[in-house]
Amino acid sequence: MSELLAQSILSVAFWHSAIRLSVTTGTAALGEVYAEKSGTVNIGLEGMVLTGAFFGAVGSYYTNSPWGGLLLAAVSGIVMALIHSLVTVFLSANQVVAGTAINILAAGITTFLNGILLKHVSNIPTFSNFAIPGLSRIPFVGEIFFDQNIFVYLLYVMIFVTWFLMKKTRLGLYLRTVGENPKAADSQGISVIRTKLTGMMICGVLAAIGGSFMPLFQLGLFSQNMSGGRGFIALAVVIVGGWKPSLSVLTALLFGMVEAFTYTFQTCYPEVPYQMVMMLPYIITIVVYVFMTGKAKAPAALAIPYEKE
Amino acid sequence: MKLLELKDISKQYGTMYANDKISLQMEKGEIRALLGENGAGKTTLVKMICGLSKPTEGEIFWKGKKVDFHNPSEARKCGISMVHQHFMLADELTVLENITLGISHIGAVPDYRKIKEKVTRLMDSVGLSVPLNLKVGDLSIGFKQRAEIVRALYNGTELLILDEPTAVLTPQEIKNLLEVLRTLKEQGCSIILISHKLNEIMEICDSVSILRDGRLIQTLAISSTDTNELARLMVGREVNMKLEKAVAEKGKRLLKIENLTVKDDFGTRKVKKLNLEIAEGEIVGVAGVEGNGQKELADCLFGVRKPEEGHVYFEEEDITFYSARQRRNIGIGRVPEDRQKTGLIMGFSVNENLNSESYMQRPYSKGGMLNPGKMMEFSHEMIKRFGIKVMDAREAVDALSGGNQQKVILARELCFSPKLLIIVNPTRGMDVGASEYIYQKIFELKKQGSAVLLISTELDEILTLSDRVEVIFDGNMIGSTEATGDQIWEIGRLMAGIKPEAKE
Repeated sequence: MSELLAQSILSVAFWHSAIRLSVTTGTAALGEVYAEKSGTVNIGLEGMVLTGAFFGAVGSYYTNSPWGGLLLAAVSGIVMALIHSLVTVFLSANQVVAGTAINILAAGITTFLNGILLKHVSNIPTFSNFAIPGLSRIPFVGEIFFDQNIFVYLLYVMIFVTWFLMKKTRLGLYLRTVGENPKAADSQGISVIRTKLTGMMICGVLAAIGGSFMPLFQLGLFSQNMSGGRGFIALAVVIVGGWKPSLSVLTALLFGMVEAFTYTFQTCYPEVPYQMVMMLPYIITIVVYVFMTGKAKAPAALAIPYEKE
Repeated sequence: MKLLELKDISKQYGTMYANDKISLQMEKGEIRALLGENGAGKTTLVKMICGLSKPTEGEIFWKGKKVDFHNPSEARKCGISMVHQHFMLADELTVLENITLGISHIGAVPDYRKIKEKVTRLMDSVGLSVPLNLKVGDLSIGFKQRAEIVRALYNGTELLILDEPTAVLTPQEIKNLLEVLRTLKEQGCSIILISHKLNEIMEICDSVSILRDGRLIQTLAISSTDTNELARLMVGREVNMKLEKAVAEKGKRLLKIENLTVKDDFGTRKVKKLNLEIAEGEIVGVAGVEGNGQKELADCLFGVRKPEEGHVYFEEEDITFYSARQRRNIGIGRVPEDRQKTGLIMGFSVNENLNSESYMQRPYSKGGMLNPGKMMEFSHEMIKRFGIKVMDAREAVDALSGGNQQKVILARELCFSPKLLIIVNPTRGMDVGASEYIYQKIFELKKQGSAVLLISTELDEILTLSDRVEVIFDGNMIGSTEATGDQIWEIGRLMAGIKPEAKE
């Protein structure tokens, strides 16, 4: 039996699914990098992932195209980000409270609207696999990384875009300054509110797109609370990844691997209660968070509301 | 045409006027000092000039035109920039990135190579140099300030405002800064310098405007005044510029620090095999630039940080691992650096703070029960004896001014007549009147034969109070001098880490 397990883990299919299972967490984590770099801890990430999943499904069903779903998901992410910003940035409310409220709101709204908008809907239009010509022909590596779907490719691109934006552009400079020392930004005439709002909106869009992956590729339908804590795991992922885009996505991949492993393990050892195995990703989250969190420092003004004198 | 003209500028916070109908004018190429005690309204005034806040009433004219700045970048476009007292820099960003923050027109993707070239040229022309690729957090205070100045100058500044720029610098760094300001003046730049250091003002400024309680008292040409007159105008009464040092018999050795090594919160050794002795009736001043181990040394002596190695002896008894409370019980009083964070409990009342050391002794408590009546009695006595300005002892301590907060701490620490008082930056952020009071209290303690260890970054303060000056550099006592005014250059050299040459 253990031979079967070893064989499964070394297969292309295992790694292929590991990547697919990290897409939601990875994309949401990239979003969270934008929020946290600009000084906002978005506890509501989970809620934004869930909202994205739901409106992704709705958009796809009503426009009869997964692209419509992707677009509506992005818009729903912006709306959630705006609600969060309204209370935290403009009204300087506590970010933990606001984020928790977003999570509860998302769970409520999606469950409620699900009964109205997606009643009796059993499947929706989804994206299909798209192998990148040439690259996907590379044995093993190519098959794993480049015979994937649009969400995975978007994630690759976003890692680079995020890095470039943070390090090289004016917006990145402003985001980092506001997260480090908002007073310094203010003294130079940079709008703290506008900058935080921008960071938060990018976060909302990415979290929602990450969420929409589940109905728009993986499952082809929406189910209640389908985010299943992936948004929360993404919060931990950002810290373990030291607020760096590439390391954050790599950490997300680690969680994808663990999840893929739990499925493989279940097939190989059906006698072990599956509930036990399903706990693995969450246990790993705690273990990794405790032992792998490096020396990277959080943005100095993280979670501190900024009030002009 | 005047470069800058303020007409009846007022700034109101609630019912209080921080600035009250201030009118002043400045010429091109002039260096103007703004002199005043803490809370006189100097910073409030310049913040309105550089666009950080808006006046409640009044008008500002720049080159004859009325201006109404909504934010600092609008003022910057006109050529007005400010270097703040508390640096407006992001520690995790490089110096170049911090400078880029202050540039008015940068594209979505800033061309750092071009900015770097321009900054380098600018630094050469005024005689400044800052390592551009380092993170600001890794720089010394002097370099951080230079980074601020370079940023302020980048956009072709015509009026540079500096808020208390010399408060944190060594005498050598101050000399360099004044040099830079002179160069800027030659290049046609006008400067507003906020300071309460009279000597500096006399040395570099052309004119001085004196503020008191939010009002402009007078504007004078430097050539027609002297430090005594300025001090009198600033405080509003005659002040004793030179306090007479208290005389006391030097007794036996009281405190001995031997090979003390202390780490900071991040595990870096900040105090390295340090040795120091203090005798009864002696005030020893520890001078040094901030961050050279003063905080860790003080924490260790207070009993809130364990040393890695070494010993501390008090009356020949090894107290290295005594707790904070044990130290107080054997007669060590402590006034920490940060009044608001470690000296007081800000949410608590004046009464509670005054009793926060003695509450566990009789008669203030018995069998775990507090005796509020006795505590209040004690507080009233302290408030009277130390002249703490408070309406009601039950008032929260954070409603008090900085000077009165410090008096609460002093009252608490001096009421049991400590044999040794360890006091860190005792008058930081306090005005001349309040400082004078604290100095007198320290001298009184000395006359009783107690010892005082004064750790301070204010050289003037150290020279006023101490019998002997020890200079701390990189966690070690690098040298010691007598506490007289003519030693200031020697002390400055030591503060910069230059060891005394062997005298022949």
